[in-house]
Amino acid sequence: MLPRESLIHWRDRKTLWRKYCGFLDLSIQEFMAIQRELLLEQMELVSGGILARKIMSDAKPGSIEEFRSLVPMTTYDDYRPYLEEQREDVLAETPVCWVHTSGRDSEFKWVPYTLRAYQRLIDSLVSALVLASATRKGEVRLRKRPRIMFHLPKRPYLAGQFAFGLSQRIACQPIPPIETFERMSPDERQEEEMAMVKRHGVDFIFSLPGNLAEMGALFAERLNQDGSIPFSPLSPRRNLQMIRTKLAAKLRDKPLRPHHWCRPQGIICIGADSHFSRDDIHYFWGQRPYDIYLATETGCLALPAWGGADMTFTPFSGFLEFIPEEEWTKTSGPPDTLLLNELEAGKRYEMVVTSFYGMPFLRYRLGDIIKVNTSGYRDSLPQIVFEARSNDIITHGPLELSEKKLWQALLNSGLRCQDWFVVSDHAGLELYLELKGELGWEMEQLVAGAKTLITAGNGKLGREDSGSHLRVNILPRGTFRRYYEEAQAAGLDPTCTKPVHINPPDSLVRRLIPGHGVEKIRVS
Amino acid sequence: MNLRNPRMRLRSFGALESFTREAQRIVELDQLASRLTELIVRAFQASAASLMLPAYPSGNFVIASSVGSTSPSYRLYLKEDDLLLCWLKNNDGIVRFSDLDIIPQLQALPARQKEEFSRIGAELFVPLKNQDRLVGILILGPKQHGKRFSKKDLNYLGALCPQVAKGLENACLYHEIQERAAQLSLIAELGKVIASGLDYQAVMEAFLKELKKLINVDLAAILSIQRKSVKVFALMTDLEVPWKMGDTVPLEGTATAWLAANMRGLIETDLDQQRRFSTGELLLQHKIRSVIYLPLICRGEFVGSFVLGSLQPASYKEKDLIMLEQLSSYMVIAIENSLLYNLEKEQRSRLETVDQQRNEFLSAISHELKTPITSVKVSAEILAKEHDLAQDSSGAELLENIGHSIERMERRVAELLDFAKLQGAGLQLSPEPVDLHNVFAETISLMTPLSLSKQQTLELKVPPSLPVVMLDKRRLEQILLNLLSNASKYTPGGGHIQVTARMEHYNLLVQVRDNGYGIPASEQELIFKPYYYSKARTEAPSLGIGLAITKSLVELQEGRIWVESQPGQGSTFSFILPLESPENPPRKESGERIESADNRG
Repeated sequence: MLPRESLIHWRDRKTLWRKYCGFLDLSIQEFMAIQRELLLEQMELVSGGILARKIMSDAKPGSIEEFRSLVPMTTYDDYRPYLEEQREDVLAETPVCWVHTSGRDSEFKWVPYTLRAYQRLIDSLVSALVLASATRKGEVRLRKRPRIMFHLPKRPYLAGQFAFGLSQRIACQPIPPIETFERMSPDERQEEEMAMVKRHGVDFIFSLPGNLAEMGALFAERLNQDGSIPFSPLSPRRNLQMIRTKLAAKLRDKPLRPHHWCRPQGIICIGADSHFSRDDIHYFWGQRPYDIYLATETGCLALPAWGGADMTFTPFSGFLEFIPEEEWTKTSGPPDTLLLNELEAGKRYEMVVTSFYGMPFLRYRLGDIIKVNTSGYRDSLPQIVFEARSNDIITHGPLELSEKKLWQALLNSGLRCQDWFVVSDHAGLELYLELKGELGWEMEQLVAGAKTLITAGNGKLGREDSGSHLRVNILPRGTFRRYYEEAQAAGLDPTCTKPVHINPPDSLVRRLIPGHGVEKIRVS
Repeated sequence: MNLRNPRMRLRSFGALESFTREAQRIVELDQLASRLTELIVRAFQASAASLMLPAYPSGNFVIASSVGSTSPSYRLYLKEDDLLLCWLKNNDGIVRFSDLDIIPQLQALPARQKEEFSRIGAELFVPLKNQDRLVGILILGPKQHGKRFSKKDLNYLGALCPQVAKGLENACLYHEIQERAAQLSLIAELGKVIASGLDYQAVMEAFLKELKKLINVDLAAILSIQRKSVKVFALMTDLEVPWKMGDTVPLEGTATAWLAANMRGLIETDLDQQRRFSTGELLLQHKIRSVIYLPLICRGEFVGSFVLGSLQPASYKEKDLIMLEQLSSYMVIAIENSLLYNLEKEQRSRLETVDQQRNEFLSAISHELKTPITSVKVSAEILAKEHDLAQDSSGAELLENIGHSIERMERRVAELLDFAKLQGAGLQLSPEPVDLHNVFAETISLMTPLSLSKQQTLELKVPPSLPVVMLDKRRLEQILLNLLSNASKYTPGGGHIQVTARMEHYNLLVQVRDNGYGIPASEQELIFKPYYYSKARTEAPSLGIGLAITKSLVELQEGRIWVESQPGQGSTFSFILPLESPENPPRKESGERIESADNRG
């Protein structure tokens, strides 16, 4: 389906860098010109499709201004009746594949990918490979046939397409092999991954951050339990390296970790929660993850430059609009949007994206909030960080808590928890968590950490005179494991079964909270 | 570029010399462009080459000439904000086709553009720049025999381009100036044509005659849009075509429908290669190969299309489209003016016909009525004589009533006849020497019984010096009687009516003043119109043609009549009649003074 990229084969590093990473050097005017051209092409492509004509009320915008004034903002609900049934007759272009993402209520959102959109997605992954392994501008450390571990959910999740697409685009050695990738259960796959990494090493890893941290812990455990060295007659250098590693660990009397065994060039993570697993990943795998901002509906939207945490938008995945914070609470009429060249550093925006290449999403509210940072690689293109999902922000008066902040509070408390979620109402917050350790002095730390966090936010939450409270509920051991097992039985890939942390739907809360055995602790 | 290499130097200078010679020899841009592409193909052993030059006045880069195996579509063009054009303008260096996937700024090139470049085998995009100004773009196809363009080729091209660009730019400028001059001249001519006539057919013919001096036109048509169909509004061609003016076709699928939706012109370069619309098929059947379609827009609204066709393919270029789009706006104005004029003419003619028919009717009716009225009158007279009725008997009273009614009817019929004649311009004046004193005196005496019956006073105030003049006495009496009878009708019992007359230079000014009910200002113009009578009063309604007749009689004698009135304060009807010329000045009696406009009191 995809043409093979010959530049890697010919080791034309300069051209390779320009092709896949040259977007970092675009000026803001060039960026906007590309966006305009692709948007106008998109209008031509979709104007014949029933779905697009319905969304646009048969309008045919001929400019960006017309497009923004004539086309309303949409959410998945506008497309659900058609895409849920995978109807291709309403689309402007026949897709080459259908992918889905599990939504907030674990309802799948189906997304059709056209050939060009698919190719652009895979090209973004090549960009990620180059940038994740680069230490300076222009450096391409990508080998001819890199070993890439895809610790990702299977198709039809979008991430399940990575292995297939990348192995067409570049010559690589997927771990596990493509032929067996989907036949295995998640546990089998994980075992196979660890075995192959142990035997051959790995150059790149694609994963969800939490999953990779867990796998790292498990891998480390295995490495330290199993003393054997998987020798390969074809790799004498590798054999020697493994012997040296084992000996060094024994001499130092320190446990082995995966990165002692093999140090990947780049770890590419997708997902909003890598912030919480960064340290774990670094501990186990030897380097911090390279996060990419990717949405199933639109593909890869932003990538960091080499060594950076802040991301630069790519102009090729979708037409970008941004809802400024002051418009979030607008009650009458649709909110106004800004374009990339109108963003201000230090401010937060909600993403609105129109896909390209004949994909169906027009002025689609992703529900993601980004923040424009002041520092970064380039002064002209804004540098952003992913802030939160718009549904994952709790506001109590002046106090604003996001998933990130709550994770930070938990980390600060020193608690090790399996997982957690929080439910807010007018009275306060109910935090539910399943601990890994025992309750005791750690709870005091949690309380202290939570209080610190809340009072630092200038909120009254948790103060006696406020009338509101923070209550911590300790869930019985195994609550979340039971949940994952039920989700897997229902067809969800276990790598994508993380429950929603902020105000999960009632159905999920009912499943997670058992009738008894919950310890309640009020923090005030 | 290594000019120390003798072969390279020879090639370089040879090609440059050739082109420089050509640039000096050929002034026609098309020829120069064509010659350049041939030279380039030969010098670099390319399989194909195309040259894109900026079109006037849009500035879009269009294919100016092409040599080689695959001809580019003449629809391929680069707009000012196209990514490739922007890149070539702002950057130096040749772009390979493969760079379109590599350079980030070019990765977003529209797929259809890429496909077209791929189809024509474009391998190199060479910007031709003269002092940083992009003058043209040379698109080279792959090298012959499967070879690739080497670095030396690219260096050689790089060295050649500035000189080529210079020569081209001069030719472009010259061409542009010529185009502008021709267009201005055409616009001036067309302006004259449009202002000269109101017949749109004649305007179109003249328009086309001028247009043919610039472009090929073998067929021209104006199509108007009518809901779901298209009508042939005008058609000019020497070809044997089956359509004629007034023919209609369904709108769907036609070029007119497309123009209405897109509001911009379109060129079909060769109907034999591609036809977008159903009309194309029909045109091709009559050997039309290239067509230009233009929208006709009047006050922001699409009203139709203007179609020009040529028997030659690729007759029309973008510059023609741009020029014609400007000119079509003038044509719309001309057609609109013509249509409005024709409409007005039609309506006027219709009104005149109606008028004439009405007058003929009136005349016929009047004549028809005259005879029976006369018969009744005579019978009444005979009856009165034979029976010799006593004056105060009922029979006598009845006979008197009959007589009055007959008189009234006779007067009405006479009025109708006069009115009909006046409208039909059939009434002839019979001027004769008239003693004005006598006329006034006789008129007053005729009106006296009526005024006495209403206890109104009737006063005549004329100077003794009124001359004898040449006038139609009967018509003057008729005017005075009409005005006096109106004054009496619209003055209550006991009122006062005054008649004055004086000479104003060589004009006779007569005024009939009353202290009656007066006439509201809103009716003062209307009362002189036929069939109008004031509904404010409750007197028996009349035909409402008395004052209309009076006015017509005054104007027939080249005079003027008007009224001054205030409701409740009476009215003054005035009329002025020009009298004989100074060759026959009015006679003056001794002691009389002819009042002039300067010393009227």
